Amino acid sequence: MAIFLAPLWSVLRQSLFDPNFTLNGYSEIIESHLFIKILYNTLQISLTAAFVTLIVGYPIAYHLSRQSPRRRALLLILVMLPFWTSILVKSYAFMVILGQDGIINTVLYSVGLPKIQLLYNRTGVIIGTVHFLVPFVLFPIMTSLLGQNPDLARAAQIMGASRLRIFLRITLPLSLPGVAAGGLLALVQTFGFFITTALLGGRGDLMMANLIDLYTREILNWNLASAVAVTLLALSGGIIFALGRVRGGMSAFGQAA
Amino acid sequence: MTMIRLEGVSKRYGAVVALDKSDLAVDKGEFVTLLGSSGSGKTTLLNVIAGMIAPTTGRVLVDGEDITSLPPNRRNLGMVFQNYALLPHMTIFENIAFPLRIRGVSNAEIRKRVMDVLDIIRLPQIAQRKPRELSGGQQQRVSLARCIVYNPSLILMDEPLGALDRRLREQMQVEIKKIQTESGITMLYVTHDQEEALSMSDRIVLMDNGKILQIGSPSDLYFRPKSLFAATFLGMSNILRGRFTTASGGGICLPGGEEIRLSSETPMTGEIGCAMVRPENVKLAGPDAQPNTNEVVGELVMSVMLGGITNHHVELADGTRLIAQEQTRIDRAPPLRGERIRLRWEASDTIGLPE
Repeated sequence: MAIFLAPLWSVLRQSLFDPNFTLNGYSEIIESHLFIKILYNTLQISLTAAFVTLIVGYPIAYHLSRQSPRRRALLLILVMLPFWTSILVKSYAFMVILGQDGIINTVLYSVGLPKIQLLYNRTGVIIGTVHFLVPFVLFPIMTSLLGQNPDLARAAQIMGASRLRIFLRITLPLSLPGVAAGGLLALVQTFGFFITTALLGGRGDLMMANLIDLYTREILNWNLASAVAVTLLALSGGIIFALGRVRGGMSAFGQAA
Repeated sequence: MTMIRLEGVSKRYGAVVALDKSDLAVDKGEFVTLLGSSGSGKTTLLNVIAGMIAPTTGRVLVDGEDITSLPPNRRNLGMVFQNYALLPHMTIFENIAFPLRIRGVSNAEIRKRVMDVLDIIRLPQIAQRKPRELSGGQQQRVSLARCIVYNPSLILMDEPLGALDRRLREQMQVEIKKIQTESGITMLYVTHDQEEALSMSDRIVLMDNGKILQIGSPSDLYFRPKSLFAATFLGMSNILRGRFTTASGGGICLPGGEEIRLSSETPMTGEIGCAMVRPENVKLAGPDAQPNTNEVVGELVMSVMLGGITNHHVELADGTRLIAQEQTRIDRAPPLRGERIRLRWEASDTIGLPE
């Protein structure tokens, strides 16, 4: 516990003392256009990424929930493979795939379509982030889908409901706690993203973690960097608190709902 | 009028026969029970009718129309599940309204019909509650109401009272039977509980090992079982093994030499078989009673007092155990353990069965 708390305490102290007690760090970042722009960036990228991740992750979770346990275990390993790969490696891999002469653009060019800019912009960041996040939303959603009583769908079917109606009126609403848990988890993860934005994003896609990097390594204003870090921590903490209140949300952390 | 008819329906999984070729017809307004232990094929039969399982052979006809290849949602059937299968995120009102919304019924009509069925199940005040706020018995009544509300041609019930305790189960049996009789719904009920089958059904379909063994009214099955399995599955029975005799009127000769007369002629003269008599028909004869036909002598093993009735367990010389059931009487001393007991019963209560 002390090992975890000691650096946190030192960051908190760093943000408040310079070397005497001061709130300058906080007032400075609040007045800073750069900080406001980047906070806005962070929220926008996080929300978009979390949303896209849910759109991509839900059908996968739905498909997995309908497989036999054996097949599901096999497919889950496939899903988890990228999850076990370093995010640095994945980001470089995406540079190969998305780049100006990358796999996608080469294919587009060879069939006579114009090349598209997928790297060093918002699209690149979202693709990289979503790819990283999918496993995180998969488990809470799949857990809530697997937890549904299969007789509910059977009963609805015998009552005359079509598959679409069963999904929209029963399966989807009953899985919303899992969706909420997965979404919040994805959001928290994205707040602290650094490498993906640094490698796949452009100049307009800086996020909070990149800002901290800027202050610590380039400007060497540790007081300011710490203030940004504490703000980021508070933001993430708030979302984790919300996650705890969502029904079944704690299952995202491997606890029984 | 026949509501549902099964013609040569069977289901195989590879080499395993889950359901042997079966025929069954259920009349409109009839309450028919599929009775059998687990693995008897009763649930397979139910699922074939519901459309959840495609039969390997045979046809399913509802109201004369072949529905064998229709998906479950186009069969216009109702089904009540053991775990109620109420939608947990909807109120009771919305649960019951669900099948009506599928059918595009107007809001005003939905309101009226839902309130009507809530009256039928005598729970008019619970419309705005969620399923988890109700007791098991209430949830099952709602589940039944959700079927009644859209007038399906047939309601299937899959062990609906299995999750309830004994007392509630007995109340619900009466309740379901009453609702069924008053509304004239056709019901096909699956259970492994023979008392439930006896108390509720117009007819019982006894199943074992994927086969229909006997179809008949509860009293048919109880008093005129056609097989040893039927005799032992429903109620308590005394079985005496012996050889069928050629004597006119039908009889069976026990290993000890006693001759037991049967209620009817047996076609199986000379063969090994059984005589079956129900415990409530077996009387304890006093020491000075006149000798009778259908009489055996044994030793009292124990007497079990179950309240209104007492079961006397008697062991014969060859080791066969018989049970004689009497009304418990406080004014008479019960026989003592080890006492020699004469048991007797009427030929008309004795059924000859193949081994």
